[in-house]
Amino acid sequence: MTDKVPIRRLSTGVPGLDAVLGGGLPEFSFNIVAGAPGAGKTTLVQQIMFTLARPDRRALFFTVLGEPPLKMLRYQQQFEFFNIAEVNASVRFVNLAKEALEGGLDEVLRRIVQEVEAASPAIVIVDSFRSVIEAAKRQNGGVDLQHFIQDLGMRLTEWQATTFLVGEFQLTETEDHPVFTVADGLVWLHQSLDRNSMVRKMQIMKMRGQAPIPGLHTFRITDSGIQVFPRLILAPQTPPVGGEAKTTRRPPRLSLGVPGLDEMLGGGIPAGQSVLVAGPSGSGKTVLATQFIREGVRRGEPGVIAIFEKRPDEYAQTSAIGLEQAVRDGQVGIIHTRPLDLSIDETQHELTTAIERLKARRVVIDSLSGFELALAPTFREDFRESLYRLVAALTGMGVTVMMTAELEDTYTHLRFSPHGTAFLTDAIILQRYLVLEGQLQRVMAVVKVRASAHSKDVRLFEISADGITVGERVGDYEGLLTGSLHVISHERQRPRRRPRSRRPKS
Amino acid sequence: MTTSKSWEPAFERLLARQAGTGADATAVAAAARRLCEDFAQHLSPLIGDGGVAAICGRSLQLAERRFPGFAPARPSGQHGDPFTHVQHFLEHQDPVIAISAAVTVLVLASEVLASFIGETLTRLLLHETWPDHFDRITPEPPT
Repeated sequence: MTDKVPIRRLSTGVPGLDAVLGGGLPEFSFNIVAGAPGAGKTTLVQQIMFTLARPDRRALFFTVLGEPPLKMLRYQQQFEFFNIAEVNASVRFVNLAKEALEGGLDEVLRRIVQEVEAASPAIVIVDSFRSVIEAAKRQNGGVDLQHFIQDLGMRLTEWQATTFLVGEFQLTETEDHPVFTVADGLVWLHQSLDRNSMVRKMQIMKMRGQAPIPGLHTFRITDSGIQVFPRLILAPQTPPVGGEAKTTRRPPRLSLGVPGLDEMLGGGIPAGQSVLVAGPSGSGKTVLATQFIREGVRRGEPGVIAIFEKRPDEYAQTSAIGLEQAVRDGQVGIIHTRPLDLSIDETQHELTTAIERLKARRVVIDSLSGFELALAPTFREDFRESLYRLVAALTGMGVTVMMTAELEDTYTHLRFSPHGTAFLTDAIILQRYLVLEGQLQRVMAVVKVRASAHSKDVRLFEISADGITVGERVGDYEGLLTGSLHVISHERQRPRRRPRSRRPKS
Repeated sequence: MTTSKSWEPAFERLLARQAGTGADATAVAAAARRLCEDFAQHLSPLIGDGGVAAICGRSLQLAERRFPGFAPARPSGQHGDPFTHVQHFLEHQDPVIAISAAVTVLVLASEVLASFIGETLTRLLLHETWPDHFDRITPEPPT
């Protein structure tokens, strides 16, 4: 038993917001929703209001001098959450324009008190509170705002209402504006413009009694209303007390569905790890990725593919190994996210939702280059860091992640990945074109498998209607992966050969 | 603009009940004013006095096409009491014309409102103001 007062947390009905708030909205809390015009403040509070309002938990929405109520009702009812049947039933709108213009703060407070005492609402919203302040300033200049806010705050406590004051405040005002001190919760909505891309972000600057997720969280406004994509915070991985450290356990291996390649990897990809397939355009990265997913389906391991360059139907049809049937059977999910203004968190949300829905064990991101292009410019700057978080989150869920990356052919130096992402992945498979004996050939090599031995061979491979078939090792040449080939002389070649049965290092 | 022919008979019945059978123009004008005020009173908390004035001004402007005599009734801007002007205009008409003009203004006001906030919400407000004369549409619950 505890003597601490339990705080009931209300589910806001805004997807993602409860998590960002730290478990929902504290009942009886006094909250400020601030941001520039058009940031989504009214939409946010109305979505919460229509979610929470019930006949036994009524809501009062005071409009003041901001958006004319006629327009507000016109536009807000376009959202799916706006329930007309609740207007003047569970939800009552009250316009305070006259009081704000003619009577100042005292008159505004008197009318709010009168309406609240008559309706006994559980939710009270004043939109916009900023206009109340401005109107009062116009009335008598030296307005006693501190007194008004303290009085309002005290009364809000008496009413046992969960309250929102909505206002067009500036970030610089948070230091000296009394309302920010009195408020229990402070939700700030931002719109940031970078080149021709606009991104919406939300920050919970304060939420008394609980721990919100820190930082900026992207959100989107659609016909359904607001959806928040919580910024991913990676929890530190600590082995269980008295338990075995994760690194000492050998994860099972997943077959890629390409026998020769599984062998090169030392028995397949370690489950729950990430692998990067890098190569030039047309080298067979997507074929390998779909083969990886198809092999999973064959073994009863559903998969999810995130694509950024083609439409899902196009992708399922044109990938060398058709996945249409598996998609229809619900064994494979294809995610095609809205291009050009994405955030990593939004993509991660869509991936994890699909993984949980399909109970997927395999994930493909095809390709990193397309993914980066699909991001809003502001997120491209942090691509590596964001990708690190994404990969860690997905592998943390126990899924095995394969990413493809377009690698420009270069004959001056050896690269394993663009974006400097090679270190983020546990394994790297490199594909390459070579001209051998007058023919253009595809070759493949396993560059790395973390904490595991793997083949060092460079092997020829071919693509047919059935997928990739790995062929023989390319012998007697060096510089294969740089494309600058030299025949190895017999004398040099012999001592450098290693037996293929060499024991893998642990 | 949303048009609901079903509102016209309802306003005719409402006006007839308010004014009484065989009412003269003065009684019709007073009844019309009461109806306008009742509706405005119900709308005011929702859309504010400014919103009511805007709806009223626009409906009088549209009514002028059929009843040019309404022109002086339309106040400039959002100030003044349009209902006094409406009453004054109606008092000086033939009773049949007064009824037709009053119903026209009330129907137009409802239609102008519906053009902003939709017919469902407008019907709900008409129903709440005069429950015996207007049915409400049961809106689809949100998905």
